[in-house]
This record gives sequence, C-alpha cells and structure tokens, in this order.
Amino acid sequence: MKLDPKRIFSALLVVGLMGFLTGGCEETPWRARRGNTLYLTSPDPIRTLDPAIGYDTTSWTYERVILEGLLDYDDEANLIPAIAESWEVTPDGRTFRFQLRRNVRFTHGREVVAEDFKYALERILNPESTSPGAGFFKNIVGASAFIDGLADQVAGIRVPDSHTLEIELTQPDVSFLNVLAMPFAYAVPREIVEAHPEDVARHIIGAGPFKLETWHRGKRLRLVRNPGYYRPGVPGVDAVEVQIGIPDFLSIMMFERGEIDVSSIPPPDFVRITQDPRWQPCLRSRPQNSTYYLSMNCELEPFTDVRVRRAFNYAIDKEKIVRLLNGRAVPANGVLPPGMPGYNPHLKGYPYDPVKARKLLSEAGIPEGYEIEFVTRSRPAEVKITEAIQQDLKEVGIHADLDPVAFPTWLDLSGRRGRLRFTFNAWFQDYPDPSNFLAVLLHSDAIAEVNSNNRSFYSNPQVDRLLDAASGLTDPQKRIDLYRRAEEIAVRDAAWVFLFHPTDYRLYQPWIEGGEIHPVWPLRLEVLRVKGEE
Amino acid sequence: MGKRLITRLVWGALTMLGTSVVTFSIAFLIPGDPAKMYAGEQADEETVERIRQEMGLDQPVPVQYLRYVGRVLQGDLGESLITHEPVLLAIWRRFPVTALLALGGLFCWLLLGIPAGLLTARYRDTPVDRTVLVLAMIGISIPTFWLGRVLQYELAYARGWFPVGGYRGLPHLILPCLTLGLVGAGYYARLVHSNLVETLHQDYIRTARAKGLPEWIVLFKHALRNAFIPILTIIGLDAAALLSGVVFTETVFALPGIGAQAVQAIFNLDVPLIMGTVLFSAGLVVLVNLVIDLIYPWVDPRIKGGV
Repeated sequence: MKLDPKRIFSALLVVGLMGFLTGGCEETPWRARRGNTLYLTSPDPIRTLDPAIGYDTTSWTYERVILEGLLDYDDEANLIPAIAESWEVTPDGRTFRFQLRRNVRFTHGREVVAEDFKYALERILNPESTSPGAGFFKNIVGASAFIDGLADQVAGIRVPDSHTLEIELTQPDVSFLNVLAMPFAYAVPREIVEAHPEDVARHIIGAGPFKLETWHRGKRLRLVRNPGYYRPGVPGVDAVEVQIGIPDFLSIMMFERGEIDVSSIPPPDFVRITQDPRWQPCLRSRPQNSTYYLSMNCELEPFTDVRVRRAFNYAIDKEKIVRLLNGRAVPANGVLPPGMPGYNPHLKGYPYDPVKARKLLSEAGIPEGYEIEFVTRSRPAEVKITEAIQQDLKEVGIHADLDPVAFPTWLDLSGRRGRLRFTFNAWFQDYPDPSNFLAVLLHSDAIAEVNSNNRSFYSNPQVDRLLDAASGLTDPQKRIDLYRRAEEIAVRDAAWVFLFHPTDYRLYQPWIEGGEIHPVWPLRLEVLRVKGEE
Repeated sequence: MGKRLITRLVWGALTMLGTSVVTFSIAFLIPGDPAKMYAGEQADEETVERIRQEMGLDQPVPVQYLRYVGRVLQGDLGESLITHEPVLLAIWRRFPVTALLALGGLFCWLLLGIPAGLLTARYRDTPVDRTVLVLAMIGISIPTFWLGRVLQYELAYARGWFPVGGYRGLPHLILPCLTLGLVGAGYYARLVHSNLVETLHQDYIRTARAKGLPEWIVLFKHALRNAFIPILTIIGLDAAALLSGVVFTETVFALPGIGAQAVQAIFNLDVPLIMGTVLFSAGLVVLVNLVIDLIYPWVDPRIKGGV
C-alpha cells in the first residue's frame, strides 16, 4: 500500500483528537445536575479553614458551616443562641456568662465543652498563632499579660463547669457578643489542633452543619453533611462542591449554562442579566453593610480646614456614581450603611451642590486649578468611579491627579500617617454593630503611625467621648442614640467624602431554595436546598 | 559529553541564582506590606506588627534574601503568606494541570504546525501554500487571551460543546489546549516551511528524487529529519514561551495550574510563592534545554558532544 503523507497526518489528527475527547468522557459530565449537592464557584482562593487565621468573607463562608460558635444571627441579624443555649450580661456590661447546650458533638465524636471555647480564644491571643483576630479579644481581662507571656492562661476566661463559660472584660462593651459570633471564636478541639500544628486548616474538625471531605487548595473543596448536627433539618443539602479560583466573568457563564447553582453578577453583565426575564425569578439583592468613602487627611493641608472637606463633599455627585454602578448602590449620607443598627435615615449629609463647593473653596483660599494627588486602587470598577470624581472636582476648580496603584500598595500607603492626602476607601462590617464603623474608623484611638484604620486621621474629642460612653452602655436604644450623635458630628466635620453603600446581587438557579442574601453572612450554605431533593 | 553536561548544569544553576536575585529584588521594590496583606485589610496595627515579626519581615531585605537562599538550598521554599501552604507543595499540587495543558498545547503546535509546514513547502507558491501561510500568520498574531475568550464564548458558552472553565476532568482541558496550540501552530508552520524549503533545494534531495524514491520518503526520511534540528532548538527555547502562554490560558479558563496561581500570588504580593514559581519555572526551562541538548546527537549523528 502506498502511504500518502496527507492521509497519515489526517489519520493522526483524527486519532489524537478522538483520544483527547474520549479520554475525558468517563469523567463526570460538567453540566448535568446530580442529586442533593450544591455546585458553587469561588473567585478567590479559600485562604484557610483555620478559624484563628481566616479573616475574609470567602474563608468565613466555609469556616462557619464546618465549625460552630456560641452565638449566631437570625435572618434579621439579631443575635440568637447557637451552642450557647442562653447567656447573661452583668449590668456593668463587663462580664458575660454562657450556658452551653448539652450533647453538641464535634464530628469526631467528642462533646463540645466550655473548655473548647476557652482554648479557641486563647489560641487566637497566643502570638504564635499570628491570628489577625487577636485585636478583637484584647479587651478580655488578662489578655495583655497572656500575650506578653506573663501568664499561661487568660484570667478573664473562666470555666466554672463543663457547660458554663464566663468572660470578663476590662472595659464594658456589649458589642463583644457580636465579636463572639465571628468565626474567630468558634469552638475547635484542642486534640485536633495539637495533632496537626503545621496544617490545622486541612484537618479542621468542628461541630457545624457540614464536615470537610476534600480540599485541594486552589482547586476544589467538598463539604458533606454532618449527620450528628444538633439542629434538625440542617443542612439542606448532602454535599457542597466548590470549584476554586473561578473569576466572576466565568462563573456567570457557567451559571447560564447550568454548570453551577449560584453566581454573582460581574458589572459588564449586570444590565443584560437583570433585564432578561429568564433570570428575574433567580435574582436576589440586598444592600451590603459597607461604606465606600474618600478619606481626606485631616492632618495635612488643605484638609485641615473643615470648609475644604465640606466643599469636596458638595462637589461630588454621588447619584452619578450610583448610576455608573448601574444602580447597584445607594448614595451615602453618613458613615453607617442602611442595614446597620443605628443607621440614621434622617441624616442629611451633603447633597450635590457645586456652587456651594466653589464658594467654600474660595472662602478657604483654595485657588482655581489647585492640584491634589488622588491615589486610587487600580481595580477596573473603581477606576471608573474615581474618574467620575476627578471630573466633578474639575468642575469646582480642583485638579485631581489620579494615581492608580495595585491593591497591596494602596493598602500599605493608605494606613501610613502623613502619607496620603486623599484616597479611595471602603469598609465592610465585621459584625452588625455601629461601633464596628464609628469606633474602629473615626475614634482618635484608631489613628496609628502605620496600618491606621482611621484613614482620615480624624480626631474630635467630643466624638471620642460619645463613642467611649456608648461602648459601656447595655441599653440598646441609649447606645444607638450616642452613636447617632457621634455620627452626626463626624458628618458635620466632613471627616470623609461619604460616597455610597453597594447593593449585593446574586443569582440562584430556579431549583435552589433559601437563597435570600443574609445581612451578615453573604452566603449561608446550611440553609440552601435543592428542590425535590430530601 | 560528561564535561558538557557539567558545564550546562553549572550554567543552569547560575541562571536560577540570577533569576532569584532579580525576582526577590523586584518583589521588595514594589511598595506594599506582605504582613498587612496576610493579616487582612481590617486588622489592627498591633496585630499586623506582631505578624511581621513572626514572619521575619522586619529584617533588612538582604538578610531576608540570604535566609531564603539558605532555606532553598535545604529544599525548603517557604510557605505561602496567604494560604500558609508550603510553596513546594502548592506548586507540586497544581503542576499536573499545567503539565497536561503545556503538553497538550505542544502536541497541538506540532500536530498542526508540522503538517501545515510540510504542505506549504511541498506545494510552494500554490494557493495551498498561500492560504496556509496566511492562516499561520493570523495564528501567530492572535493574542492567547483573546483567542481563548473567543473559543470559550463560541464553543463553550454559546454552544455548550465544552465546559466554560474550571477543572473537573480532562474535557475541561480541550479548549485551553486548543487555544495554546492554535497560537503556536502558526509559528511552527512557518518554521517548518522555511527550513524545508531550504532543505528541499539541497543536492542530496535532488539525488534522492533522481533515485526514484517516492516523494513521501524524500520528504520524511531525508528532508524533514534535517529540517528538524533547528526546530528542536526552537522547542527548547519555546519552553519559556509555552509557560507564559500557560499563564494566560490558565487565567482565561480558570484552570488551577501554577500559572493562574502565580498571577494570584503577584496580586497578593505573596513573595515566597512568587519566588517559588519563578525558580520552579526557571528550573523547568533549564531542564528542557538540557534534555534537548542531549537529544541532538540522536537526531543528528554529526553532533557528538563536540559542540
């Protein structure tokens, strides 16, 4: 037989392609829905599942269903009992006493006792754990001595009996209950942590609704139902399968093809998706408890003058920014987002008024064409916003010099004292309490030389006094009154340019139930169900 | 032969040392604070400071570098600042996907490129030749990420023939391999073409034809083998290009390989992981070139350790 080269190559080509195509066909098909499993993607890597280390929404989403804490939140973000059956706070707001539920078990079989919570908290405070959450627990009596190695236990965490836990604070702070509802404070079994000191995250065991089955870092995570979970009927699915590292633009395509059950909506697809009647019933939204703002360094010219800070507030058209975001936000009039206890709907803030802005600037002696460096983060969505701000400022005679930098760079610069004059910022709630915005961001104690959370380096003794007084109150209404007064002053002082509060949008496949967006936990895996599956 | 191998190995080691110095310096010239990235945006100052000390980031950069090299020599590439995963393990776990993708891409390069080159050389100055060369030029000029997005949209999203992205098995690799392959294939078609055209004008080819050998034997046995030596060199050099193509392709299709991981590491200023990936890739390129060097004598018996 005479061999024709063309034939040989076409044969090779066909064989190669066939092999390639069939090679994968026995693998799970990528589309079909199978049983009572939830299919998800995560744009960001899951950094960790170790509750002492995780401090980002992605890690928390999974940590909080593998582990279980003393307290959790109901649908309206009110604290509810979890492992703590009941609790009481002493009238001085300094001591908390928790009664633990009996017969709650870790997935390796042992009962959860008060000692497990004490261990979890001391682990966070131990400098060796390098826990980013340590700062939240420094207020416990004896924490400083423990951190400095002067004591081998934290005196303020006491275990009178196996099912009672007592925590004493140096300063009264009722928001400490919220701190205890953060995954940092969830129970971990000491024997598991000590058996795997090098990689706690991979071997994590908790008392939550799911247990970890497989986790290939950066690739995939699989959780399966904890059959011994103490709340009946929870979780709603047998397993959760997560593909990690899938960016939003891909996840929306995968969602539309039915490959996954839940997806966020990237900005370029937003209008198309929300206007498509096919997706209307699948759409859920909720205002996010976060605030985007421009910090104006009150320690540096020209922002030492309150008139300039007010002028900047009047000069920037927030409605326009909201339109740029396709309406996925509400304009901010103050510090607290609408979903936050203490949010003040009557706060007037600064309406768009370029004439007033010009007047204030000229009173403050700012010349036409005044130049100011505007450091921003180079995320594409934010660049669009900052360009709009630049335009608005130009209208009132301010030339803002845009300087977009990479996120890590911005993070470093923005917290350095005396470094940046004017920059773009955002704050997301750690827990739903006004102190988590006002005290953390605007108290003069929050000013630091590096890594300052008070990015405007704003200091007003009157605000400090109100915030200090509020943190000691146990009466919720009186507390909120004080926080509102502090916020009003901060707004009057124009500590920031208050920009907007984003709205979260998410898509759930029609066969998924329970997909309301929660005010604290963006994605609650334990409440989701697949229709028609038990 | 032995001497050449040793020389090559020494050069390889020097290449990697140089690469590590440059990468380390760049990582520290970029403003940004790894401790703060590790601690999270909202961590308080004291906590960040403690983490910085715990990680040794408070030491001068040269000290940090020397410590790093010391550990690397003992086989310890450190831990990722973000995930705490040992870097070597992080790379090793994701390498299979990258390797499959790179091999699949290379396979497409050669599978499409060589026949196309053969065809154009054999039918030189005919419409076949011109069409294939124009297609090849288009292939060369298309950026990987663009082609990837187009294939992804048309074949996966709009038609559902392939998975859109992610990785749950081999079907997820078809489109990425094709993306990588189509771009490189054009280049190889050109390469085979120009080498063959030259070879086909040699006297020994005319002799072979004059002997009455069938054309396919002339092409394969006589011409292609000779034309293959420069192509082999280029494959070695292209190992680096392949790796960078892998970075784009993995990012477009969200494949969990070392390329996508490296991009993430850069965004997070995860210095140990960046360093590890660069060293690993440099090592890979050195290794591939070494292997190619060793294959030469087999392809061309005239080369016997003398070059």
